[in-house]
Amino acid sequence: MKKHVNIQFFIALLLCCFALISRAGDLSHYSKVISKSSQLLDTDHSYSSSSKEYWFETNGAALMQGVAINNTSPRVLMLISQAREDVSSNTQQSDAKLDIGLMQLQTQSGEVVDSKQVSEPQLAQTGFLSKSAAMFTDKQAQDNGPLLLKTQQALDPQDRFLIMIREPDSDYALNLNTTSQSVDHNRTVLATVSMTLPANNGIKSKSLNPVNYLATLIGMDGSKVKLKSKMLNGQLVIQRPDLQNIIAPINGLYELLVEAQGNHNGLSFHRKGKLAFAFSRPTASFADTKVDVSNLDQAQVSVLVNEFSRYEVRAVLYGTKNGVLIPVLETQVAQSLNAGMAAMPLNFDRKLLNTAGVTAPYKVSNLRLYDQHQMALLEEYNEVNNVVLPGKPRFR
Amino acid sequence: MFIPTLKKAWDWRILLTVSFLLAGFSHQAYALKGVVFIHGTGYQTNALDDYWSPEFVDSVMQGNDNPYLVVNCDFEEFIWKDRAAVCVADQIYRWGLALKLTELYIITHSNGANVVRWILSNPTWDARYPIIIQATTDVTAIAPSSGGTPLANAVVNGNVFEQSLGWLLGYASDGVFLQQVEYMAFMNEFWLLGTQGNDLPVPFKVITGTDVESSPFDGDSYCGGYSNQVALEFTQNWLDSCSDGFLECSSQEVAGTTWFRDIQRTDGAEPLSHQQSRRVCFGFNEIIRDDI
Repeated sequence: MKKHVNIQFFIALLLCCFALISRAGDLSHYSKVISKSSQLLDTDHSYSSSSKEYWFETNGAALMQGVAINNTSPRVLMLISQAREDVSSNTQQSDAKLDIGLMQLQTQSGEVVDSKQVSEPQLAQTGFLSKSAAMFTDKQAQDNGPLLLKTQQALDPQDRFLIMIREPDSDYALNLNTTSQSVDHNRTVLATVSMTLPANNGIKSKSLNPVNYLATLIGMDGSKVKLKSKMLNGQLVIQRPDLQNIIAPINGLYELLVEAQGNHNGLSFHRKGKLAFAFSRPTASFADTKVDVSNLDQAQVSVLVNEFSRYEVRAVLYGTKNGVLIPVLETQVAQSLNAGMAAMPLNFDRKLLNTAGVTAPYKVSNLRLYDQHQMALLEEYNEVNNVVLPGKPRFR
Repeated sequence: MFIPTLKKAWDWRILLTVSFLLAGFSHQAYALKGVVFIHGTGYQTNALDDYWSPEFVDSVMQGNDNPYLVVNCDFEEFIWKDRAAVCVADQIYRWGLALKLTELYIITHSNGANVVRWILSNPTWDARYPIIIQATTDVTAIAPSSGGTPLANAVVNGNVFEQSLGWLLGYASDGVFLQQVEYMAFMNEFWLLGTQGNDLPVPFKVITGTDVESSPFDGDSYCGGYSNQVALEFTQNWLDSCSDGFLECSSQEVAGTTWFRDIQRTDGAEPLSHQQSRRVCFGFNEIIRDDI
């Protein structure tokens, strides 16, 4: 029994030594079998969003007098939040909580519109809306036109409120599009923006009327940059700003906030929409994208490192089965690298390859370089220039 | 206390040594499975009582002798931070090592699924991640917020006073920020596997909540103590018609494979609201129990 324990200890010691030798520095790698192929080579990162919302700040005085809600459809949802001293607000506020039961919606002629109220304590029971009350018109509401939000409560005129409006059934939509939410130093255009508006005959169309847009980039630290833009083919094209100190995505994303206001079909409309972006600094790049796959155990990529960080390379390996190249596994290799030229071994897992039953020729694809300290995708290539031995077929 | 990501080479060597010893345990002839419960958004110090409820955990674990762990971490943070994913990995790792476990069955609720997907998707970020991936046989994601929710946008947008220095109110933590729709779109595109064409290394089975029963005259509405019908009606209106009151079905099902939608398997085909899907309601807890 004692001998058995000694052997186990010896084997464990050997394995530990092996670990120390084979993993110089903090190199780590992981391979996994992949089963699907169609999406793997897809580097289309485009993203779109559409907003039928807007929000604005107001105060107690305005709410007592009545605040115009520029609704464009009868069904309106409102979230009403009050700035209070019990949170980290820098302003002096009264202690009076908003009584949602004393609020009402009126038409322009002063008629009260049927609505439902949800108090702050009621809404807090959902577990995620803790500091807001809500008000909404019914799905069957008929009043299609601007409404007035008014309270009968004696509020402190200086109290500050934020009103968020959502119109699920509206034909007025602010559309935001981007080619990628990951922004590298080569990008010039951040996003394109357009408004969808109803035509007189009820068919949706692009806006022909002037729409006032305002585009702002907001950092996680609250910093704001007004963005340059130009109209092109009916779309607002928002330029990528030159940021002096980029906040890395690992600390949060930037928000592109776009506000649109205008008049159409006799109605004033107001929309706010946003996209999230990761800006990154070019801390490293692939020195080239040649991968020698003639000897998989030696396969590596060259990385030109501008500054110290922990970098990760991901790649997909294709192998041949029944004469056809198929994706077999994805490798992920990470290592801390100092500035200069570095070689990252791809460490394709032989055991997984054997299990998959594929043979040479091999092909590497979908090569990506990440900076883990930034949490940023730095570069990616669909197709990699695979170097194979002379006389063997070349795959591109 | 949380263990930071291991960055120094020596830390990695120590961990690898331990890992190899763990690997030795895994070569036992029989498997020893542990069950892990991972909570949703929020900072938990006693998730068993404050998030899951002992009744739910006991019900899921009833009839099997598997050990279980209820994770307590800080999901007010971004999922990749030390107090979130690294904290989860550390608690699972230490527990698994102590009990010599060879298999893990992970149960998540809401944002807990995103934390697990981070671990499964980014194995090179922490030396414990590959060990956990290797041991995990199943992830059952109850109402995962994989695609984010417009309500997170509402919490953030509806609480940002632009002129204030202290500009955040409500629950607008980093954890809520990340569950905004466009934030999760970014994460799914670049950092989290499991969406179409991006295989996760382990099965990720989704239980989808599809509706909220909010009739005051229906006793089922009160299961889980969720009795505020008007509030639910409001949040449901904010979302698609198929939603659990916090998450749209499309968000819950954007990653992994849908195991079942609540009404397909629950007693009386009752839907599970976002709160009910972590309580003993309509027998769905027994379905998970049987799966374990």
